[in-house]
Amino acid sequence: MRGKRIVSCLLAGLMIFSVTGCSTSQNQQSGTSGGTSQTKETSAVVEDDFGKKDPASYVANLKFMVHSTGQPEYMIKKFNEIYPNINIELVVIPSAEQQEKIMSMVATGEDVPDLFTSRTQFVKAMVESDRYYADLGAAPYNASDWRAQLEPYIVEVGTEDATGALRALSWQCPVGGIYYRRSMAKEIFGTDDPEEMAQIFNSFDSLIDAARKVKAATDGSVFFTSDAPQDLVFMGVTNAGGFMKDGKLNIGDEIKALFEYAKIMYEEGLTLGYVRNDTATAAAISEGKVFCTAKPTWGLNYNIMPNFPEQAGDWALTSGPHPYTSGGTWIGISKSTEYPEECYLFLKFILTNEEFIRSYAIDIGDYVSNVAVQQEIEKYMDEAGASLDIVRFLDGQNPYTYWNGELEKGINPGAYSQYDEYFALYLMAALESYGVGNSEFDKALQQYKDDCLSYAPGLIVE
Amino acid sequence: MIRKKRNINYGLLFIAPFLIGLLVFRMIPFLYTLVMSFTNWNLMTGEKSFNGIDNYKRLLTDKTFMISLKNTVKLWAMNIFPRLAIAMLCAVIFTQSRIKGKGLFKLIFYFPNLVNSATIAILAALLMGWQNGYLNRLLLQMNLIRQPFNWLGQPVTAQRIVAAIIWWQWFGYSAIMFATGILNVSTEYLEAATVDGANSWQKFWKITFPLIRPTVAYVFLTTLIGGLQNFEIPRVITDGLGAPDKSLLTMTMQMHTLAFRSMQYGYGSAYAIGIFMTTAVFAGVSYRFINNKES
Repeated sequence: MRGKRIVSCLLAGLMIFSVTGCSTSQNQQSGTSGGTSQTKETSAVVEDDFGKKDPASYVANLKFMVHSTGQPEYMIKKFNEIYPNINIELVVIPSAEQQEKIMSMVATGEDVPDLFTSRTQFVKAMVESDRYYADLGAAPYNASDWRAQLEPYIVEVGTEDATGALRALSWQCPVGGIYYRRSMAKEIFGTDDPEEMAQIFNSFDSLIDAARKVKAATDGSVFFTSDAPQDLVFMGVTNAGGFMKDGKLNIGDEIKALFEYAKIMYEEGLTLGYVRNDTATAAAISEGKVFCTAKPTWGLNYNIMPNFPEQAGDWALTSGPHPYTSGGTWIGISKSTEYPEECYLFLKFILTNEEFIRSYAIDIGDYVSNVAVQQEIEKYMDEAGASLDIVRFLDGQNPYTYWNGELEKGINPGAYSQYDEYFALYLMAALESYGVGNSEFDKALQQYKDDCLSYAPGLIVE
Repeated sequence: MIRKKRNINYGLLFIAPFLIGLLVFRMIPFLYTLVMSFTNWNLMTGEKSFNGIDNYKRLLTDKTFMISLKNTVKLWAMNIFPRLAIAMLCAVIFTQSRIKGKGLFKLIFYFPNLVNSATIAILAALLMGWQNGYLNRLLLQMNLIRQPFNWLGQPVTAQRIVAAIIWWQWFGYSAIMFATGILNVSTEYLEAATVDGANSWQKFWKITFPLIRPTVAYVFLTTLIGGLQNFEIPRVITDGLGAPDKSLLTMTMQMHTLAFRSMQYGYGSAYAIGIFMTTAVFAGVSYRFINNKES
């Protein structure tokens, strides 16, 4: 009997442990434990030798929150060649959860990372508040001189509108373009030259005509694009001035025009009809069913090149109706870090160290925001030619020549808002609804407005 | 008396782990959510103050809430009745017939329940794609259709497809539950009915079904509660916002967007309480209906 009681108690104890093991996961990958648990703001101690001491003398363990590891890992490796004793631990959060994670960490003051990235979709939400990122232009950082070294629109997006505080910067410029299949272009348009294709795509009307030509020439077996709403939003919203204009939801003529283009694309069967379905789009491109796709810089390195290596040499890049950007990652120093100097050194390294930025651009193939290096890499790629994977993939085309050219046309920094991520999704949904015929124009537009208002209750909508 | 008291104490000890778990991981978060629902806490703007029942007033006039409620109930209703009917049929076959390989069938029918919902949704999106989906390609090759049909682009078909997927995913589980209930019915009743000349259908409807009513009630209620919290399949199969035309937007999806994307913790909490109240009302009415039938 006594034995039974002991066994029963042991079983009950085991159940307690199994229940406590069912706690919600943090959904967080982290190499080592610990991090910074700060609630106080970093004191603005101004030291004459701030950031200028012997590199080996800096000793710190920094926590760096990111949504993907490839680029940060490369940065840290190169950084540690100069600052070997600044250990940077990467904390990876899925991109869709990053904003919420950071905001709740800052709200509680627990485990706030020293450095963290913000995607374009919510960078303005971080920058426009003084709770997340430190002011890089103020003491102890005094990094205002970095502004002159980087692309102006990158600096402006990372600057708080109300105060002019420089809160975040990006090492990259996600300039957009249209990637198309050369072999199909030769067959359909008689040319695969990017400059000639740019003339064919120089307005939305001519883009639609090109789409019709693709359908006619291939008997409907090839579609101009896989995801018309996404492409239209990518290419059209930046030029329209962004989702927010003059403090109100932007529903100007350029935005309304996107609805009509979506209608045509769907009604005439010019799009495959996938909306934000990367898996299905990739399958269709593999099968040769898609002529082109609108993507920014990261689309080449992270989407097209890795997914379609067998199509190397058959892709090219050209401009669409308007220059645009989409995506991108900003980085800033947490306002409450205990290691401001070490964080400053890391940021300075990745944003202004030209030797590093050069090797990053060549090794990773990313389009950097450092203006001086942009020009250097363009020359380098011209000389290196097809010995570089990225140039070979584009059949000898120098992507830096294209990207530099697009930037010269001008990117509107005002096209970014703190609501971009979901407003883009709502607009794509409205375009699809109208395009497919599920809603009349007024209803689709009203649904877009209602969705935006639901997402941002204080929004001004006309 | 002392032995009875000791037995009661041991009883409490055995249910203590469950109670502790229930308190810590269910009741306390629920109460905290309830408290949050009376605030205007917005992580994006930093606002956090008591705002009375403003969130609930907003909820009751929120068109999107009504749309999501309607969709959630519709998706549930479209899959529950076929699911229970076919699950019951399978359960009867598993328990009453002499078909060989019943164990294998049980395994195959239960297998969809083991597959991750998001994976199923991605697969379904590939199969049902408009211009390039495998289903359309097959139908075109068989000359059953002349143009590809936009299965997931029309609200009517999209909802039915999602309901069918959920049915396919869960009917095996329901069948096993029903089979277990049927196996617990004493064979004496059935033998007596056979002696009295009852046929198979009469035995099932007059004896077996009434005796497994508690099992049916359990399956119905758990399906109702799960169905009203539908999230994964409608979330992943299209654009994540309930496309086409918000026909796949469920209450949980909208709550997730409001609370974890829009950072409106206060209003999102009110939404969660709204989902809880809706589920409680439906479950209460169903339970009362089932109990009345029983008595």
